Amino acid sequence: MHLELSKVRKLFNKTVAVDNLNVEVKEGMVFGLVGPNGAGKTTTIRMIMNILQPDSGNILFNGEPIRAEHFSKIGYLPEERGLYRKVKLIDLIVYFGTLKGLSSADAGHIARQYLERFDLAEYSGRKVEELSKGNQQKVQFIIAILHNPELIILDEPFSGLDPVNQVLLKDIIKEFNAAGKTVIFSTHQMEQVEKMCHEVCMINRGQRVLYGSLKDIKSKFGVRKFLIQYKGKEESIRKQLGNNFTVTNDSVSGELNSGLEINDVLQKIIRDVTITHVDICEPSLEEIFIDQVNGKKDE
Amino acid sequence: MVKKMNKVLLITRWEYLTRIRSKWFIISTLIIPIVLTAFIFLPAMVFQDSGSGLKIIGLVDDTGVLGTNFEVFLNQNYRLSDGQPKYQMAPLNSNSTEGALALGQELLDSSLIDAYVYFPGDIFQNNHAKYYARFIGNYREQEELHSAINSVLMNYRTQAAGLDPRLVEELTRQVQLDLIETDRNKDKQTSEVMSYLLPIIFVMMLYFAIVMSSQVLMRSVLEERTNRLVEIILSSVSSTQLMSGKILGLGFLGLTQLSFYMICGLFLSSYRGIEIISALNILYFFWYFVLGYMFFSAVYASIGAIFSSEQDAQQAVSIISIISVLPLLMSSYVISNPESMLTVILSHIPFVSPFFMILLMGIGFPPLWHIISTSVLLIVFAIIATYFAGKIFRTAILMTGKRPTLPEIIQWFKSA
Repeated sequence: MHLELSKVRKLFNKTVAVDNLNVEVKEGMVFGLVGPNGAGKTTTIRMIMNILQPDSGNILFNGEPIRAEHFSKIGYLPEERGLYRKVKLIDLIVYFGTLKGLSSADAGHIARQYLERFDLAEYSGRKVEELSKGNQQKVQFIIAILHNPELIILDEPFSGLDPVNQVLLKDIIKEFNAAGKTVIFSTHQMEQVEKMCHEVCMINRGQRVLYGSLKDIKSKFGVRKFLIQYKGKEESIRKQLGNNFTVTNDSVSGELNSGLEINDVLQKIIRDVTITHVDICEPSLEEIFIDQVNGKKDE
Repeated sequence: MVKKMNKVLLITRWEYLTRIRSKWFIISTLIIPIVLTAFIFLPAMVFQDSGSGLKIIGLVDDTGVLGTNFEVFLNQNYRLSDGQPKYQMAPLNSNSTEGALALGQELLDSSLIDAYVYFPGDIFQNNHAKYYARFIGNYREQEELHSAINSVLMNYRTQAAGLDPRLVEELTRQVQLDLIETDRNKDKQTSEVMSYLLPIIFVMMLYFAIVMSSQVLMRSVLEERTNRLVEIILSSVSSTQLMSGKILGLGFLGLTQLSFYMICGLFLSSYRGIEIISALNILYFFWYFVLGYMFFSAVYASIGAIFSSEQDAQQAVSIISIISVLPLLMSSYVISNPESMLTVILSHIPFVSPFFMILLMGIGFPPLWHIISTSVLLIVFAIIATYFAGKIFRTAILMTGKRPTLPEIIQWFKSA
């Protein structure tokens, strides 16, 4: 499995929804597509799913332009969710399974396993409209993964689920990934991305603003902060470090960068005070996200 | 290719099975035959009921000579189906005419007699007799009693003038006008009511089968579009497969409905002894259903794909529905002028063509050239409509939000 978007561009009534987007998703990856509301995440996913046609650029699946035949290998959970309401739950899942090429016997068998797992077995023979919204969402997730796809694309999979079900969903995504499947999901919940993704693409106003592995992004764009607690005189610290740091009578904090690592700070002050505690805060993706979004807006 | 076909059939099957089980389909399918049966049977029942049983007629005869002849005439001429006399006379005797009439009224009020007739003494001069009944709606009885009185009175006058009543009757015998409709295939006697009613019933059957299944199609497209289920479906099948599957599935739904109507029609035919549905009719019906549905389904699928709310779509559809009712409104004209230029022209307009053709079939089979020309035209229009529907469907089905403007729709025609 290999998915590549190159120079993809989509306009809606002269508004650029996605601009010149280059993304590569390699096999076995959990790939996060993040960005604020209206950034172009869903549009990008819809273009991958051939629901929208890009105005220019290419989307290649295993090196070929993506087309309907590939969809038997792809599972998709759309952002806007709906189901037929007046039909039996099991019939519905089996129908979508057969559309993906499963035999109805297989589809029924797998569907029952997932219904069991998602705690929905009792609803199997009931009508879809009797299900709560959260449960309908679980059903849609089942529909997306029923045919055991190589690539699963989930648009905002966690929104609307309670914490218990979020964990369940996460576990199943991890399971799929452990079995060598590739997962792409979009979200604006950064903690989910941090916990799950290997690679991230952040888009804002249709443009790629961050892209790469989580580690790279953090080291490149993140601001690391330090906090040192000490015993000694405040003035000597101020004299050594200058005014760029926040100094109190027992602590000093500030930002690190490539020219100023924690050792540099420590070396400057270690002769004058006694260090009691050192802490370095890794940047959160959330902060990077907010910085990037606001930064763009300021322009 | 095999796999593609399979998916179309899967959708066809799903659409058919989920709809045919729905309560609304069952109710709406049943309601038409029930209403139509009522249409056919009620008037007949009204006629039959009043005409079938024994009628007891009170008689107040001031002339003293007509009463007996009146009774004899009725006995000779009007019999029930079991051979018994239809009318039984109950002479109303009293001291005075007023008393006799009051007695008649009393018996009528208590339903002991069905009507009473009064021959005044001056009937020979004034030519007036009186008929009293609670309802004077039954034409046939009035007709029979009227002709009995006439005949009896005429006989009396003839005899009084010294002529032979038999000779006079022979000489003044009236001409009987037989109403025979010259069908193209065979001469048959038809009841006037049926010859007007039947074509209209045919149109309604076809209309319901075509328009209802097209409306179901539209709603189903609209539903998938508004709840965005279409995204999941289109991640499994192409939009062409989806549209084909839906059109086929709901087409079979319409066929089921039509078949049911045909069976009801056959049943009624054998029961009432009228030829409502014949094998040729059935063929003709299914032919125009298929042609009409091909065209209508394409139009309705497009409407379902364009509009994002049921209200908007219904507005668009109501225009079509009104146009399609035209054949019903024009039925009496078409029935009396099946070969006029206007009928022929109207029968070629795609929205109404199948209905006009069914209307014509109700009168007798239209000529072959007419069937061929309307079929060819319908097929051409259906192909054009399906082609554009495919384009609109592909583009519009995924659109969200606002109602598209006309220029946008035109743009879709070009771009898709």
